[in-house]
Amino acid sequence: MNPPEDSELLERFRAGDTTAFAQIVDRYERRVFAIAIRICRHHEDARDVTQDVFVTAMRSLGSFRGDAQLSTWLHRVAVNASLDLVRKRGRREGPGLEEVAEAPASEPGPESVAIESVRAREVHRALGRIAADQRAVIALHDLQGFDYAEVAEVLGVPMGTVKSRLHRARLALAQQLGHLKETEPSPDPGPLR
Amino acid sequence: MPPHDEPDQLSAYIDGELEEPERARIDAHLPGCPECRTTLDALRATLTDLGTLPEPAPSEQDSWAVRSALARARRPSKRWQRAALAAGTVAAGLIAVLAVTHNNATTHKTFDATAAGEGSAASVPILTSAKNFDAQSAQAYLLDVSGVVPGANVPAENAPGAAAPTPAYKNQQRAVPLSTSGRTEFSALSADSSTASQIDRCVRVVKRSTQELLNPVQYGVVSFESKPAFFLIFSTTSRYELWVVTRTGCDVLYFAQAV
Repeated sequence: MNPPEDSELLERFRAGDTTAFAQIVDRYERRVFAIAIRICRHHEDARDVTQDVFVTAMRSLGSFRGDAQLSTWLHRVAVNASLDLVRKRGRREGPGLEEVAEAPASEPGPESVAIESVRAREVHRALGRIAADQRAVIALHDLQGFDYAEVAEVLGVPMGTVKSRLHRARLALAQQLGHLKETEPSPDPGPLR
Repeated sequence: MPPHDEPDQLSAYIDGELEEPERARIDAHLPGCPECRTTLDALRATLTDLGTLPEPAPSEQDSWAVRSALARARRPSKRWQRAALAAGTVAAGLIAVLAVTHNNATTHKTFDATAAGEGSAASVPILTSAKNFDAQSAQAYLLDVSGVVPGANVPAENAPGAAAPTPAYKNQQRAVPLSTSGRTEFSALSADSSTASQIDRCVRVVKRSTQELLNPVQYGVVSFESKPAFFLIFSTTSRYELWVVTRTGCDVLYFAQAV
């Protein structure tokens, strides 16, 4: 049997079926957490955001009108909650990758683990040095695999804005990673508004 | 050479998000523009680097923190009302109390510092109530906290006797004999003035007696069968558990609710 569509789960939830909401949580928890941890960069913050997203959803979905897809709505709440938390915390350069909850590696040899983890650690730190809303667009497109149209929906901005915002975010990250020198076309490190 | 008046297009070019004729224009521009080629290489190297990041995944504790937050976010006043209602309407004597043997040597479980820390009374809401719970109302309360629809997910073999009008949510209940060290811990409860530290003590004993990682959901100070008692509600991967620890007589009752 095919898993129920989001719309069916929503309908059941509105009718008082608490197991339908549990299925919504099961379906989206991993992606919400992934978005949150990429933007917030701290495990406990990502956990808080994930909790907030689903508590908000539980309280709000009863009146959710379905103008947007449930997935888009949840991801939008996740991005906004993450950015709010980052703003609240102020700029905070986080520790290394050990703070990030990663899926267990599939038993590669010790050498490849060391090499992968060193580069991944550098990338993680570099992400911490670009603006949070730049991390958000990279998280959605480059790490979570949303296409431009989906990113535009989640962020509530036109496609053209996604295009330029993503480009500037990548340039900023490229500079932090040493792929572009300071003399190269200058990315704007500030908020992309 | 066509001008590079829209450098933003380079990312869209890499992503395959450009329509013709923009794509053809960049194809024609790149061979004569070292600056754009350098930028393109840098963008590609950056994407390769991003590919080294492992996929983040919430831990089991993260997942249960979400579910615990959802349980706490439900309206507590309704829960108490429903628990009291259930106490008045469910016939007494429905629930078999099963004594189970408890071998502390084989069931000893060590918890890491994080798990132990999360179980501390300081981080879990402590409910107080003048309600006098009994086995039925305690289970009704656990049912409501776990958010499980009555009748769902309950293995048939756990249902009470067929002759009784069975509450469908019932999963199991048992009395838990305490180990010597558990008795020693509990005997100190009455001498301890702090409710939080008494609950911490209870949690320690409970955790020591189970093989599973217990995520705290709610702790309560209640009356159970007219005796002062602690309510300790935990979640595991497969169920919600309620441990009732009376402050006199070292009695411990255990209820489980499948999820």
